[in-house]
Amino acid sequence: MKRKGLALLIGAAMMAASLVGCGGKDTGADNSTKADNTAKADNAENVVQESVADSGEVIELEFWGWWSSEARKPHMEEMVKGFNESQSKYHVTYVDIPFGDIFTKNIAQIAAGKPCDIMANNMEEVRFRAGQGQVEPLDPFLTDDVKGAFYEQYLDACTGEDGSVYALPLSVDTRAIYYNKAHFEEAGINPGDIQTWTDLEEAAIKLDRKNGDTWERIGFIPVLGNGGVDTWVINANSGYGWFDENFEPKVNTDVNKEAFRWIRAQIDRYGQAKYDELSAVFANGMQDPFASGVMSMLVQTSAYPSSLKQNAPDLDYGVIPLPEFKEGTGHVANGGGFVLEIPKGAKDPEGSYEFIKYVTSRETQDFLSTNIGDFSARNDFDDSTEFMSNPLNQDLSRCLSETSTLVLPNEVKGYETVINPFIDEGTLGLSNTDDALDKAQKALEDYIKNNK
Amino acid sequence: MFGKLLTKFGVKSRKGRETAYGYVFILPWLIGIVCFVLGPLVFSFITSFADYNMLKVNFIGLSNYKKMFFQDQLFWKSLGNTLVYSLLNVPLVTVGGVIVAVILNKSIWGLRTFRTIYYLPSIMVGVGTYFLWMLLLDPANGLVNTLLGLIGIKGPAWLTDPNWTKPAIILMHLWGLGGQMLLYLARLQSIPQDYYEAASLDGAGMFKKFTTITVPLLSPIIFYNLTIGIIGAFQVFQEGYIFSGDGTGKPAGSLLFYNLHLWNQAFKNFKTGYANAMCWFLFAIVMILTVCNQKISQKWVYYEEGDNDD
Amino acid sequence: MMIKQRKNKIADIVLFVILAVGAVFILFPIAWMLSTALKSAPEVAMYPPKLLPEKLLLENFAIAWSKAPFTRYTTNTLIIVFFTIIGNVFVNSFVAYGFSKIDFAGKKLLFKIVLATMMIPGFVTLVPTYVIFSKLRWVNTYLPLIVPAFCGNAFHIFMMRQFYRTIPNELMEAARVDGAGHFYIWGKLMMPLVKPVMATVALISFKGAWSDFQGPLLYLSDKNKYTIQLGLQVFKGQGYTEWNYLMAVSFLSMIPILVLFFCFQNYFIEGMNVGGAVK
Repeated sequence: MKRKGLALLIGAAMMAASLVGCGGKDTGADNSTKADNTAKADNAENVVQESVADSGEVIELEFWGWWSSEARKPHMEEMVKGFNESQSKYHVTYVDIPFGDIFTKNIAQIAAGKPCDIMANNMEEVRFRAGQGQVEPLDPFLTDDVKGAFYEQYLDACTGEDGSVYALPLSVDTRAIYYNKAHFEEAGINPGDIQTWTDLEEAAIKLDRKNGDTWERIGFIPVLGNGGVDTWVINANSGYGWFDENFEPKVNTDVNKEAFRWIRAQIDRYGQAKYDELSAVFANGMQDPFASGVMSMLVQTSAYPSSLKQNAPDLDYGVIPLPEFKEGTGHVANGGGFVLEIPKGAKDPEGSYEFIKYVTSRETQDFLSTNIGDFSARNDFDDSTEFMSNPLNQDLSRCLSETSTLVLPNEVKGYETVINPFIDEGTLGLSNTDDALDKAQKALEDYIKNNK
Repeated sequence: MFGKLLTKFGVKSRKGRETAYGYVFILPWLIGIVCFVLGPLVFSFITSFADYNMLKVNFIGLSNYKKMFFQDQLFWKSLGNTLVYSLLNVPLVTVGGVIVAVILNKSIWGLRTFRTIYYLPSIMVGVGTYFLWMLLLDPANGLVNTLLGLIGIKGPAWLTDPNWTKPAIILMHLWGLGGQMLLYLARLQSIPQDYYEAASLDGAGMFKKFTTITVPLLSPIIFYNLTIGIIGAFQVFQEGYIFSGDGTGKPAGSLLFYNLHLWNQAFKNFKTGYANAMCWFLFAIVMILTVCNQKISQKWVYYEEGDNDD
Repeated sequence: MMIKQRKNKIADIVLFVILAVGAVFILFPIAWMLSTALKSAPEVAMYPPKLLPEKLLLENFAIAWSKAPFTRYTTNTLIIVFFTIIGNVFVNSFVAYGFSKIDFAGKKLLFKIVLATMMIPGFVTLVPTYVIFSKLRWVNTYLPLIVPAFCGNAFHIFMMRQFYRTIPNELMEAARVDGAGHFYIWGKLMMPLVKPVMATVALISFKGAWSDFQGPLLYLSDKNKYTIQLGLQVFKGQGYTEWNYLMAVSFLSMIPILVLFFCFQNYFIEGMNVGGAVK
């Protein structure tokens, strides 16, 4: 009898494991169901409200994004609440997932056949994802008035190679130079005078403070914060970066080489060690040197003010566009954007679309921009919005008008991983910047050839 | 009950019954090996010949392998990174482990406490340790460079200088060598003291005793650890994933280890077919290392208990 | 003789000093972790760094713990750990019994496979296994993290088999003469005898499952299902890291293993010995 019992025990354990497995299709293991329930309980209030309003079945939708900080998440949730209260058919829950994991997890869920219902994603690769069959087209629901409300370049980025629209723009951003007003005044610099790279360098040298061997203040290093070598190259060659207008690799052009040499010269002024130290500070997220007044200028995205509000509420700062490489080449900045889309296999695309339409409406966009700081891709987002009543945003908006959002064709997707190691070598002083670009050019050519 | 069942099916010979029992006992493992080892291996072998992204399959012959060996520069970079790392890390940690074990095998005051302290880092496992080392290795106000500064050395920018990222990881692993140390210690304690006494009578000094008795007797386990260590180096993932911050293996691709590249191909770019080709290459390397290990160890290393026959 | 003894004494002192210096190097990072956990945010970023914070902010531990649902993450982790231990301890001792105490056709070959699979790194099967689990729709559940523990682990089987082999067969033969079957012998006779190695397997499993990062990273997407190792990432924000809180929770996350180690030190060490001795 005893041995039977033991055999049963093992058998039962195995069975339990496999049974849980079968049940797991919808609910996961016991515990996960529990977790779900608790999560839902948080929103129970809303559910109750709605079911009272409408006797019909409320459809539960999940919205995935990465806004998790104190500064942003509450606004996202408020926005979602606004949608839930605006109608009675759907109930959306916001789920935040760390930025580093969300895209992987999204595809995993699509492959597993149970994706979320609305997904925030990057704008540059909508076309790629559409080609891969990862997103549902919006065409069945899309109306002209919705389509016509966005700047053409952004809607274009949301359009697949088959001509269908696969996403709507959630937000767009740009890069600009943030400067410390007190430092500028002290050094007698008028921000409006910084028009070219030469002006910028001169200003930086005026702002530098060195005491013996130690740097007390860093005027400007172009490739810290949100500035990369690509930022400056795009600025120098008016928007195409490492490519030409036909997306042929053009990494080692004379213009790019000159730009990279300039970047390197800025770093050399402070020495490699200082640069390494500062870039480690940014990488480790130790403390923002611009916020603490160690750096006088910094390239950052248009979303930076919301983090300064948290970290340095008393800092007096302004913003200027990236200067021109040479007079007349334009204050071009590289920017990106985020979109909302419906993952392939989502259970109720119509409901998902309703939510997307709500979020991209002028009113909601104004709410999000005002509270989160990103810009809207809507063409009716003018000075009458609350967001634009902030002068800083008006300055940033001018930068946005000269922003290049590169939408690269599918065969070059992932090219950064190939050229970045070489670019890094140039930035870190391990190889001559010209050589670095030559090597990167070769690598990019090979990469594109093999990917075709 | 199972016995009755066997009788019913006519299994009567003792041998037959034992075999039936044997298979029942190893059944869970058999299921495991089929579902989690052999099955996946076959599956990945098949899809390694396809353009596969988990949603659609399109067979493309040897293209993935061609791409891997001749076109993907990052493949070689990641393989090179992994080899460089393992060739530096494995010998250093092994030598360090042996030295500490030999010292801790002496009767010294506070021995127990020392053993615990040296072992402590190897039970401080988890992501937290990696974050701790990121903090320790901060070039400006990290502990490591601060200590180096006290003796007049300007420490490098460990994790942002591509030349120093691998030494940084090795430093972290040297800190945690207590796990290996314990293995050697256990082995040392099984060496009969009369070996040393006899050697002493012959006038052998400490160093001579170390080279003629300790090292040969430790040889099997050292050798084993070397091979395991090299294979283990192909397990390195978190170091690259966490230390590079964004999982791309920066700076300058110096933290792009084989597994991180594989991971990015599989779960970031969803080139599952290509990733499976990489899986198979990894499998081949490990198999070659294992066979080499067995061949060499048969010649080279003396096992006291003949353990492979049963 | 006298000279020799004195020489030994000097050697001992030298070794002691070496060991002590090494110990300081080992303990310093741990101390750094604790001191960072107790610092205020400006103190963390201070240059040159301070060894000890001005004021020991013990409340950092509580604040950090409440920054994310860490109690839930801990519970989630414990659920995975619990099933992993149950699976590893019982299944592997069951399988190991088969490999060491029963003679059956093909055993030699199959055991060679066990030894061979000990060498295979997890990454070899990571991608295909992931595809399988995702097709089973097990992604975002704990099953991919738990079920494999019920299917035997080569290393544990090997370790347990070594232990079974130290148990004389006479004991078993006597029971067999009395008419006992293998299930009875395994459950009734052997289990009590192999308790030490079971404890070792349990501890190793605990350590492995508790500290696993890559498995949960791959399989869990719902934040409510996160384990503590995944949860630690919340402190690494975009461009800004709360190091004091990160270190506080990191330290807390290590306590269970440290406690287990100090309570069951011998089992840990025994596990290493059995694992190491035969290799």
